[in-house]
Amino acid sequence: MAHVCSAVPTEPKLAKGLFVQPHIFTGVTNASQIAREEIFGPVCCVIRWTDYEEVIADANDSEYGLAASVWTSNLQRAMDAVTRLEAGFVQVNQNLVVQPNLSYGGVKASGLGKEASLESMLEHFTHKKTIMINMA
Amino acid sequence: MTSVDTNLQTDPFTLARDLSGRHFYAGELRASLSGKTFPVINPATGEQVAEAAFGEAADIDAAVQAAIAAQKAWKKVGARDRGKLVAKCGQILSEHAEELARLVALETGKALRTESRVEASVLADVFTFFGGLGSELKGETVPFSPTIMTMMVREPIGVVGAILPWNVPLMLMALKIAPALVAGNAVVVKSAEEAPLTVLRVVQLMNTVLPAGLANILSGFGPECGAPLVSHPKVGKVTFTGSVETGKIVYKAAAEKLIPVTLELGGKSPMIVMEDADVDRAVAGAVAGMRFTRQGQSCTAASRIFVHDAIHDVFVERLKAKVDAMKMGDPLDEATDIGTVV
Repeated sequence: MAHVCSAVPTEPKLAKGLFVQPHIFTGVTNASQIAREEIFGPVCCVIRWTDYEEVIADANDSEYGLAASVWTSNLQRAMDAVTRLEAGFVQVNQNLVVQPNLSYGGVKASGLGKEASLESMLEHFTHKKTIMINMA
Repeated sequence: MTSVDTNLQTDPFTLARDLSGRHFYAGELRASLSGKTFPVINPATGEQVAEAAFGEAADIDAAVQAAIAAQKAWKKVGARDRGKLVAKCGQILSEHAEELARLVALETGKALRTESRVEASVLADVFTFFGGLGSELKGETVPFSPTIMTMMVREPIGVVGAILPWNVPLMLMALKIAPALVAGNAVVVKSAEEAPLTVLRVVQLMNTVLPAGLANILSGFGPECGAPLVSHPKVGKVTFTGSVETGKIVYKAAAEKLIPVTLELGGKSPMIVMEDADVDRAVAGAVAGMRFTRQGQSCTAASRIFVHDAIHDVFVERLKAKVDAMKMGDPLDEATDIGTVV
């Protein structure tokens, strides 16, 4: 079921604007096409779950692995989930964006290598040269 | 070539026209060698606001040649001094933050208040951050033998090619070029065809501080402009953000030359809400995580939200209400929460 939110502006000068109403889909499963493919628009799916082991497996059942988040007040569950989620950036009780000083980059089809952080400068924009000077 | 001044220009329509039809390389705004251009459209109105220079292999080659020459001198500058100049770019970009925010809102449709101003501020911050890291380009020594001095040093790659997306062009350009420059490289950037103007302005502003030829940017399309950048024999590294499909093309082209790549591609990021979660906090987190204010156009968008059965219905009701309350409208209007897609 699709819940269509907000409203497209009515001003005449915006009549040809590329306004897309946010869509929240419910009643979908992780196997649904909208839960598999990246849409890159204001579309999300809300998936109902009951079994913890199944939801972790479903969360990881994706070709991508960029980010993930866990929302709970149970520290043990949070610690378990963050170690099992297959993603480059995993957060508990927040959804921050990329930060300049934190290593950022995905696993699986989400990419190769890291951006941001000192690591990105050292590992991705330099070559290491080994030099030996025989003084004997 | 006509010059465009580097004073503050907060009317994005005027600035877009002034920057029309230009790349920036070898220290100057320059038209394409072929003279070709393509239109830049305001996604909120469908109107053309500027033209962008249509870059091709000859333009790429000219920019790379300028980058090679500039990098030869740049790598001899002390690492901390390179960092200081990059940090100074951050200072200038910070002074121009409002101008850059308005221009990026115009060309990408991202709402000024909720998205574009944030991005312009992060842009400057990334330059400031990496500018302070020059002295961290350290090597190691190894006690291999008492009579053989053995060390590992870090050297710049040379010329780095960077290919940008249109969703967060300022921040993602900064994350690619600021560290590359501090490390002693020169950069040649290919902007996204949907968002060529603001990143062009950023490179122009950077060139008021940096030696000519170090930071270069061209606009164009993947096959004509991106492909010759990746395959150019003097480009020693490519960093790309975009789709999985294009990422594979970049990777294959880089494999032909055996050069390293960094690829930041797509996502379908899960958000798991447990039965004991604070529902309001999780709903606010879903709105932020889905980047609804950016029309969901984020590689990290939390687009799979798994909600425990016990709180599912209340979560959905509150999420709908919160997104419903967001105002969609003219990206340049202060009241707007959500702008357009590109």
